[in-house]
Amino acid sequence: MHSLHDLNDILNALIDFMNNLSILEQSKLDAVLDKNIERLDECMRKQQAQILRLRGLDQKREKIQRELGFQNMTLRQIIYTVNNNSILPMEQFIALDRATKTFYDLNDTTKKAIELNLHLMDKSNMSHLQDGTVFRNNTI
Amino acid sequence: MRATFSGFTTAQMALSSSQNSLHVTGQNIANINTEGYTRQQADQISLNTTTPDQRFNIGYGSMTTKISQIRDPYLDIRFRNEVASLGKADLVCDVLNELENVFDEIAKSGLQDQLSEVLTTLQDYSLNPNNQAFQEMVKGSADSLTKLINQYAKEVSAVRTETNDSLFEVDIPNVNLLLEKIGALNYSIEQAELLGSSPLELYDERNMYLDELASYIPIEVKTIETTLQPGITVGRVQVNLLQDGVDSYGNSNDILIINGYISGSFQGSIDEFGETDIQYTAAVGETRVDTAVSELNTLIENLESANYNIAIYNLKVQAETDDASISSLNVEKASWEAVRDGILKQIDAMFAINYATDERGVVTELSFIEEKAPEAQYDDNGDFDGYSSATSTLYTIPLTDISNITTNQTMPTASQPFSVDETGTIYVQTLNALYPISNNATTLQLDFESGSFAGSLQMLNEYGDGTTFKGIGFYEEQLNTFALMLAEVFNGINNAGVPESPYSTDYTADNYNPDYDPNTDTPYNLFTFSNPPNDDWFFGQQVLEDNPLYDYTIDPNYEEFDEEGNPVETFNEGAAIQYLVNQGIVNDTHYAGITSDTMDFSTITFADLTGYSIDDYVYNVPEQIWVEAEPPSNFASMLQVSTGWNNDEWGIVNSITGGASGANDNILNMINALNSSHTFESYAPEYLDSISSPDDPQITEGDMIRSFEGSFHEFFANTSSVLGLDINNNKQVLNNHTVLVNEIENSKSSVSGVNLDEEGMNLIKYQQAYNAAARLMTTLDEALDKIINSMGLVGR
Repeated sequence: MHSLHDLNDILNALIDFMNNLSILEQSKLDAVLDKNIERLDECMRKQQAQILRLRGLDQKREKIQRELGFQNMTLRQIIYTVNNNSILPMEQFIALDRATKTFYDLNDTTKKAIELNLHLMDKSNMSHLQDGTVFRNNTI
Repeated sequence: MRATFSGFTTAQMALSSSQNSLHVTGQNIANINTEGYTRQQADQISLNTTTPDQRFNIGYGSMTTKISQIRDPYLDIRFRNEVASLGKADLVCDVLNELENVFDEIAKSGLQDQLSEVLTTLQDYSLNPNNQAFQEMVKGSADSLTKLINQYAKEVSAVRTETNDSLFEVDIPNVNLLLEKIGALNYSIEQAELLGSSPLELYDERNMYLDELASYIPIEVKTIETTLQPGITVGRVQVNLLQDGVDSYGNSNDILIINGYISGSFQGSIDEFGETDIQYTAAVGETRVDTAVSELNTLIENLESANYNIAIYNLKVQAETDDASISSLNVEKASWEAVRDGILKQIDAMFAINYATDERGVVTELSFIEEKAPEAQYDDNGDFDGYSSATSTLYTIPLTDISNITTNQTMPTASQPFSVDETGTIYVQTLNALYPISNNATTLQLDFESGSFAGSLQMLNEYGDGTTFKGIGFYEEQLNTFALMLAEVFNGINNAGVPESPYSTDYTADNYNPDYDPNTDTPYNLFTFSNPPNDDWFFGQQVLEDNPLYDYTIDPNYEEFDEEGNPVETFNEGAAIQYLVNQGIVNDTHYAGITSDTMDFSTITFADLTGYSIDDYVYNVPEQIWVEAEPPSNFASMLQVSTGWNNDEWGIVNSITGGASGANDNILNMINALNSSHTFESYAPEYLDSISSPDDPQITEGDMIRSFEGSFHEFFANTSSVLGLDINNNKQVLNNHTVLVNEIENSKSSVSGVNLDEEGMNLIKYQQAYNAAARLMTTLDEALDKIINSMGLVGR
């Protein structure tokens, strides 16, 4: 049977996880800005592995919540319900929220940078197509 | 047959085209350092004609059709979106940095040091409890502590004032100026385009202003092809302020702030709760008002053409969207009669009108949505039997074959019933008089998702708790909490064991000062406030108050009778509804688009509400409700050493155990209180949000959550640490946006900027083309010379 301490441990693990994911996302952004496809590819591979880990952590969290009778409750609701700062400190929740927001912000920036690069590549391709193609009205 | 000399024309046009391209290249090179300049190019076409009897066609050279700019609209849109996010992050970072200057205790000695000083003096005093000089030292350091807290509070307050002033005095006027400049440029551009020219430099200037505008507010720029005269079309620029969501008709909530050369203005204000708001007021005579009027007139004319008799009574019209093309209009308390083919269609309730148009803009279909409010029902005995449910019925009247209808019937209104005067007031002409139906009530409350306006409002209005954004209010509240806790803890300790009579010697912990109030200057308080806070001291706190509606709310069946047996009206429905509106329980949608500003609550009844069942409310009105407390006083700036202690009317109560004259247990209590943990409380966000509906679970006073548990030192250190983390986070956000904006800007420059290498290459290219064209002319000349001067000379 799990206890609130286990939930706290999961919270800590999630904070660490999100911080690591943000570091990886920053590398991804740098790779995109440097237009380094190999590095970007490597980051994506690492991230896919991380996401599998997140799934595992999330399942564990859901299981603990279920056992503690907090099913379908948000972490914030749980903290208010527990109302015990020493076992489940509000600061932890804030830290997790902060780490998640940082990741999402980075992710958003990376996404926009990728879209921008794709657009420029598209434009470049179009322009090469126009420059490099000779249109004739008859065949030789 | 091609003309003999046509080749010269070809060569001349080639020379001219190359020369134009050389001029444009020169212009690009000359403007390499001009801010906002967009690279230009000469657009050329090949001239050719098709003649059916020819086996093949040879062209007649080339021609420069226009000088165009090289821009990528995708990058413009991306840049403006991103620069808005950057503007917001930049402003938030600036304000947080200002706050950091206040709370920074590394570079300067501050509150933490002063707390330590109080601790030291208390320790000294505990060793010499009978020596008044040591108590004076405690008093002196306590006085310095309160003054330091005052200073911190004033500095945080100064950050708020500066942020507000910067918004009101600098940013908003700047944006208004930009709107005017863009409007003026649009006018100049339209005039130039009317004359057939391409004012490229004006486009550049406008783009610069639009980019600058985007750093303040989130915008969307559209170009609408507008026909100014038959055959002359210009691209009229419209700028929308992006807003969340859609209205009840599914139209975007975006607000048109620039329509061609017409623009409105922004104003800032501070509401009764101390929140900063920004409103937008549309310009007088703005096209959207004009459009609304003109489309209404068209509607009436078309209806008239379709053999409808229309009578309009007590009409109030308000545009539902801010788009220039009004697609729907709301009519409040209108009574319309539409007669066609002898059938009277009367709609006498609040309803919305929609109409569909064909591709020519002719109204083809009119639909009325009739919404009937719940009505009281009575049984056979005449007793109240509850309310009917609200109904909504759609009536659609197709207006077919309008073009074939020639017979106009007389309308009871003028044929052009709607007009607008120079103040923007809309009038309707009825049979009897000219009635104003709406003044220029186009001041709109706004939400900003991005841009520096959004950053300012976030910092000024959000107090933060838990995971919500922590604006200036959060730090004000932290200081207030600190000051109040300090007063409560020390006043509590000093009042514990104080005898009812100051002359009594019965010092016991149970004998608490009966007059004790931690916030006032009563004996034996050590700290007090120059303007004592009341119970509503929490920032943004919701407090329980008697529900004024409760007095009104009775069973509608219940009736009181006067002496003569006549029913006495005990239920003021208008007042009750106004109260519900003020509380946000009943909103504008219940009035079919009429805002609470224009509602006359003295006449309204529950029956006028649409789509809203009052039953739930009438029978379930709570006796007390949560309402927002008065804006908090910045009482951290008011903390002071109590007057009584300052004037030596009372002092530190050394002991509450009634020990010997050298006893110091209460001083030790104070020392302990400085070092030990306290619960610094605040309310959960749910508690603060619990006002919205009586159905929401109410959180009571007991549901205060601790925002922090620790010593005074730790509380303050935590506040600084939260600020530090916020700064760190926002710097990262700012950095990300800056990187992206730079990236887009570089991309823009690579497309639209002048590249000397490229222009140098162009110079050579066009020069060679020019030389080749000149050579062509020489060649043709030589050929003709041969024909004219060297042919047919044999035998001469």
